[in-house]
Amino acid sequence: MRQRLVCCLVLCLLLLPGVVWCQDDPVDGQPARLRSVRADFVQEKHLKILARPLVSHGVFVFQVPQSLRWEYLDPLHSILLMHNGRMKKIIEKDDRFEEDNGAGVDAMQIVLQDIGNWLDGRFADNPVFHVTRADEQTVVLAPREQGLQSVISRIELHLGQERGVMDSVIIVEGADVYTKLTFTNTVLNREIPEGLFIGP
Amino acid sequence: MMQRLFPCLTALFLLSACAQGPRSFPPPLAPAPGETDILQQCTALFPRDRWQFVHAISFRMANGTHGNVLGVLVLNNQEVNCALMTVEGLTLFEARSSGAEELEVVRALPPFDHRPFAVGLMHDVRTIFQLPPGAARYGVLSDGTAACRYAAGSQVTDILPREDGCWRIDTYSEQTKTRTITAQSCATVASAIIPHSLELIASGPVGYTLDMRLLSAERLSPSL
Repeated sequence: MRQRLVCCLVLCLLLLPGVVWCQDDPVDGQPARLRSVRADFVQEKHLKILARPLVSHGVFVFQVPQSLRWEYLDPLHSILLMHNGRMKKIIEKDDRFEEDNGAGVDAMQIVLQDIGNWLDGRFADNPVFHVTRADEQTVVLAPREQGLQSVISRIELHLGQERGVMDSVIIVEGADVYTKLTFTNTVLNREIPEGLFIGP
Repeated sequence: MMQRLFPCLTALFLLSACAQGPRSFPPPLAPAPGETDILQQCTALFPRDRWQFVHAISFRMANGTHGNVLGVLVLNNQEVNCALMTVEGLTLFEARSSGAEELEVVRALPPFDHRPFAVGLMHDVRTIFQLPPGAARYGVLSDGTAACRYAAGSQVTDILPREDGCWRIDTYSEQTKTRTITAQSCATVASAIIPHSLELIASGPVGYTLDMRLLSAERLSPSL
C-alpha cells in the first residue's frame, strides 16, 4: 500500500507542472479552453547534504485530454511520455534511448485521471491533497494521509500574473529538503504533433 | 504451472550455488619490487578531503528487478553522506556515516527502507571511494597483474591499477569473492583521479549490478 502511494505521489509530482490556472477568462467571461501547454523548466533540488543544489533543465509539453511529454535535457536526458492512457519512461544511455521498466510505472497511471481536474483549476477534486489558497497567486496542496505526509509535507503552486501560466512549483519533502521547478517561455494552445507524445 | 516451477528452479539454483567446492580466493599474491611506490599509487586512486559527486545509477538485481536513480555523495574524509533520488528529484533514501561502524538513516522510502540495504549501500560507497582498511602489501597475481592487497580480518581487498590510469577492485570475504568494481574513462579533476563510469558487480544469489555514470564531481572548499 505504502509503495503504491509513493508511486502515485511520484506521478503527482511529475504532473503538477502541467497544472494551468484556467479560471475565468478575461475574454467574454467564459472559462478558458486550454488545449495545450509548452514550457521550459529549471529544476533545483535542495538537500541538506548538498553544498549547492542539483540543477536540471528540461521541457514539458501537455495536450488535452491526457498527453504529456516531461523531458529532462541535462544533466541526465530522460523523457516521461503519456499518451492514450499509456505511460513510458525513457532514459538515454550511451547515445541510445532505452525504456525504463522499473517498478511503479503501472501505478503511475492511476493518477492520470487527476490531471484533467487540475487543468480545469479544480484542485480540490483531488482526494489525495487538502487544498488551501495562501494568497491570490499561491495554491498549497497538503497530503491528507499520514503515510504521504511522511514522504512530502506540502506542494506550493505559484500561479503566474498572466492567467493560464504557472510560475513555479515547490515540492517540500521536509526541513531544508525541497524541489523547486521554475517555468519560463510558456506557450499556450499551440498545435502539437502527436509524435511528441509517442517517442523520443 | 510456471508459478509452481519458479520456486523449484530458484531452490535448485540456490542449492547448486551451495554445492560448489571450496574456494581458493583471494588468489595468491607473489611479492614484487617497488612496493612503496605502487602502494602510494593505489592510495592516490581515492579522493581525499571534501568532494561532492552526482552519478546516474542503473541497477539490476539478481531477480531481474532493475531501475534508474540519481546518486548524490558528499565525502569529507571518513564522513560519508549519500542520497538516492528519482530522476524527477524525489528523495528515496538518505543516510550519513561518520565511520565504518556508524550509520544514520535520515530518510528511506520503499523499497529502500530496510536496514540491510542501508548497510550494504554504505559499504559499497566506502569500497569504491575510500582506501580499504587493514594491512597493505604489494605483489603480482599469477597472471602478472600488479595488485595492492589490504587485509582486515577475513575481509580482503585487491586494488589493481591499470596502465590507463583507471583501476579495478576485487573484494573477498570468507574466501569468497564478493565484489568486482571496474572504473573506466578516468580523468584528473582537481588533482584527483575520477572515473567517468563505474561498474559494481556483487556476487552471489542475491547479487546485483550497479552501473554508475558520473554527472558531476566537485572538490568542495572546507567552508562550504
